[in-house]
Amino acid sequence: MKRVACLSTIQSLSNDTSSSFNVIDIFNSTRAYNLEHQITGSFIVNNDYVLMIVEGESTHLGNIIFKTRQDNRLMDFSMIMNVEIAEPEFTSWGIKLLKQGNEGQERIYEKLNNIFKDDFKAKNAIDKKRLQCFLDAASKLKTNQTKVKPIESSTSLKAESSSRPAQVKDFQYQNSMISLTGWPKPGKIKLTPELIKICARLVGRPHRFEDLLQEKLVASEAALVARLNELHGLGIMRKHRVDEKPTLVGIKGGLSNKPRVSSTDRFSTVLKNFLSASKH
Amino acid sequence: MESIHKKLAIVGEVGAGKTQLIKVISEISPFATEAKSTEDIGKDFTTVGIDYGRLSLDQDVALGLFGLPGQKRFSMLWEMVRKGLWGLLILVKYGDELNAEALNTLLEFFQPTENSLPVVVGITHAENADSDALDELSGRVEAILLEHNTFAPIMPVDPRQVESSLMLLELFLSLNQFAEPEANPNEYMNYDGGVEVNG
Repeated sequence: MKRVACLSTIQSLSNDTSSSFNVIDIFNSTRAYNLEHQITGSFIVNNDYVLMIVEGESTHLGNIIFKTRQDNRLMDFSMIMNVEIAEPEFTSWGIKLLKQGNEGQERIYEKLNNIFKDDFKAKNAIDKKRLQCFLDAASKLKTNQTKVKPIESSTSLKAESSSRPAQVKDFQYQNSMISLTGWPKPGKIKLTPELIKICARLVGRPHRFEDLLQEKLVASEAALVARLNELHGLGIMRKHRVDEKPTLVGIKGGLSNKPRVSSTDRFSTVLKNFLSASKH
Repeated sequence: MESIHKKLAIVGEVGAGKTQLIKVISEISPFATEAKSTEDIGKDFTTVGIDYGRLSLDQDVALGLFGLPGQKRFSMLWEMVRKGLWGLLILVKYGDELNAEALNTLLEFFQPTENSLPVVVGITHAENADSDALDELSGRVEAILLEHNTFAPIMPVDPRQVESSLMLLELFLSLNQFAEPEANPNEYMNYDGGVEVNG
């Protein structure tokens, strides 16, 4: 088993895609592969820099490094760690934003500055500078942990181990088509009836924000934006071009075309009434 | 008016909480085929066949609850309920080694994606679980689901709690209502984004 760490810089794109979506897209592009091949690690973002640490069997790590290196949204890709390990330090594959105010940063501080530090081998000045940014940011978070009140993240990423979703303020959902790459992990967020409805609609299926709004999945536009922000903060949201044809994202075989129960059928209505009455 | 009877299959390993869940949701005493355990499995009685419960929603509308063992040797019981299922709830017991083979067999049998069958995975006995460990287990379950092209919510469930059990029904209701794409599925095509690795 190996642990590999790579540095890269997020490429600024000329189109209207927000940088946070770029980052989440890149992270998401590795999720299924990493899950399937038991690759653990962290995709750590600090401003425009990305530090990707992956652990697993060397063949699988080679594949993921190769794919990431080819991603044109990242530039100046550089491997700064390649060591044999007996056991992984991470239990899953997650994304982490080094930013003041994000909760649950203690463990990444511990890993970067205490556990991994000696294994980092920055080869040139650029790498040294980029690596130092991560170490400094992690140290700063540790230092300020007790005195800094949480501030709202403007880049919409969420700390891997945070129990509260990050706040996302800058992203405009209007005129956007969005989907979810999967259901939220149970340790990250508690599913509420509102989130259930939104996830059931969006997992694997792009929808326009306006369509979601029209379906009245939640009480108001503000509530919908708040719920979408929570999901966005988990790193499972994907943005699509508005003119993109609706597709079943990630389902290789697609769905069958067997007729399904209509949303207005009597059973659904009666069950909905039953559940509603049970709550009161 | 035509009677409507839907079926929810609840499948899981020994001790996952199938019988308990049915006891909580059902308005009738579950018809259960329990027997005294001959081996130490952590409880005195275990279900050796099928649990059956019912939730009447209206005079002529009901949801049948079928608790089924998760082992392949009981697949003849799966066969009995497979047709026309409204949902498949898979219970996974936190703290036990995940039986990936059994889960694969189950998904191969029910073929949720091909049959447009909503699936929910409930993790039981997870009241004191660490969130990282819970995510690790759900990650392993999710990987197996993806092998079968299946997206499914994975959530902690306490079969003893009415609220937790009703939340499951809420989930299935949403999956049944919203999971179906609006356009003709035949027009859909494979997509290289989202969870797929970009090349």
